[in-house]
Amino acid sequence: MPVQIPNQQQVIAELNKALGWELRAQAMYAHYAAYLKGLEMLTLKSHFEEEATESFGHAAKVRDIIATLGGEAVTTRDPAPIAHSEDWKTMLEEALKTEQAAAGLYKKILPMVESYPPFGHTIIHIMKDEMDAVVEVEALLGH
Amino acid sequence: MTGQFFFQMPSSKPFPLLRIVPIEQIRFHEAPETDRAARLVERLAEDRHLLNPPIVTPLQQAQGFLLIDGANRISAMRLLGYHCLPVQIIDYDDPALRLGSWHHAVMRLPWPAWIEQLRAHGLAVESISPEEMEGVLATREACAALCSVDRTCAFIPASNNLRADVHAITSLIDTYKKSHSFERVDQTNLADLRRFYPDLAALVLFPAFEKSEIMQLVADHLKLPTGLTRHSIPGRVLRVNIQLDVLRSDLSLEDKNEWLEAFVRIRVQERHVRFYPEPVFIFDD
Repeated sequence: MPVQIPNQQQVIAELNKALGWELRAQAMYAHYAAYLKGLEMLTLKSHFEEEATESFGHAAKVRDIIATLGGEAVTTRDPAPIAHSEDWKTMLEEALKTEQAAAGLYKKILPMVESYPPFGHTIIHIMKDEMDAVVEVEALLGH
Repeated sequence: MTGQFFFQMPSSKPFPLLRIVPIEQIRFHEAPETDRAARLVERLAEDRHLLNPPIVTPLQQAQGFLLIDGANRISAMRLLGYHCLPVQIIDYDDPALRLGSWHHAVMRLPWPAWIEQLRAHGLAVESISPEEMEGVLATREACAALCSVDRTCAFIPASNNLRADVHAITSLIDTYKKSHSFERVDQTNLADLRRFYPDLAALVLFPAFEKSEIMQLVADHLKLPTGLTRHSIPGRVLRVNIQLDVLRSDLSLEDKNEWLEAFVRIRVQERHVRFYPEPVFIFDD
């Protein structure tokens, strides 16, 4: 029996947007990690790989919530194009946009699931991870 | 998120309110110490974490906040170029929040020459017996009382004018703050103090100000010398250890507060937050 929360279908829809975004982020970070060159490879490759792993973890948690709510989780990434680049700065700028958008998605979801603390706890963790990532990428960009 | 959230602690104490606020909205009632702020600048630049948030209360007659504790932290953050910082917001009318004064234990001060110096600075200095000191402070007849280690005592009469009294206290402290080492102390027993401070030469006692006087100071754009008022704050938040990169980031103030709220909630969920109902000693302050 799925867990019932207010606005169930809307919550599932928003969670699916977040899941699609995580799948996109995974693909983006893996792609950029493969195209780094020179000195930047030393520092940014591990960063991108860690971010890809983190997105994988977030996707798993979001998928679990969708399943617990009785929804059907998406299996394809968000269609927003991933800009190909071999320039590390462009990669970081794209990463920043991705993390900002992800933080925005979870910020929207959080009040929708707060009435059910296990979901609220998971989403607040993910939201803070995304905001931390924004701060980290800004620092890497020298903002 | 809710924007206003309180957790209920096991003790039924309301959870402290933490917020990130613009530094420019915080007004001081004490002048910060530049030396201590400079030392903090080095530590903060290296650690990139703010351990204990300063404590503020909303101003009653104006927008912004009155700083209760943390003048040097805020000064250091400002020097490092931060425009906002996390604070604990408290209710200044809380009867459990008490206001007292620190006293100054001054080392190696030549008493007669110092008294002459005070008079030369235009301060009225009147003799008094050691037994009368407490009384003149309690009744606010004095804006400071002075006592040498051989128990020769004097006081500086109060004027019943806050501005004049702040000026007198500032002039008094100026006569030793740079030329002699001194410590803030909360006890007045000379024998006990000498055990800790063998070079103790004089004890300078200050009256306890009223909360309304602190608000008046700010309204009048006056500042007491640093380290004089002593707020006893129930439920003070310690060891929050907030990363400074968030404060520097391009996130909006609202987003920074969302981040702080998430940070606090996660600390609570992971059982890192503990409330001590009893007084505690901290050995790594």
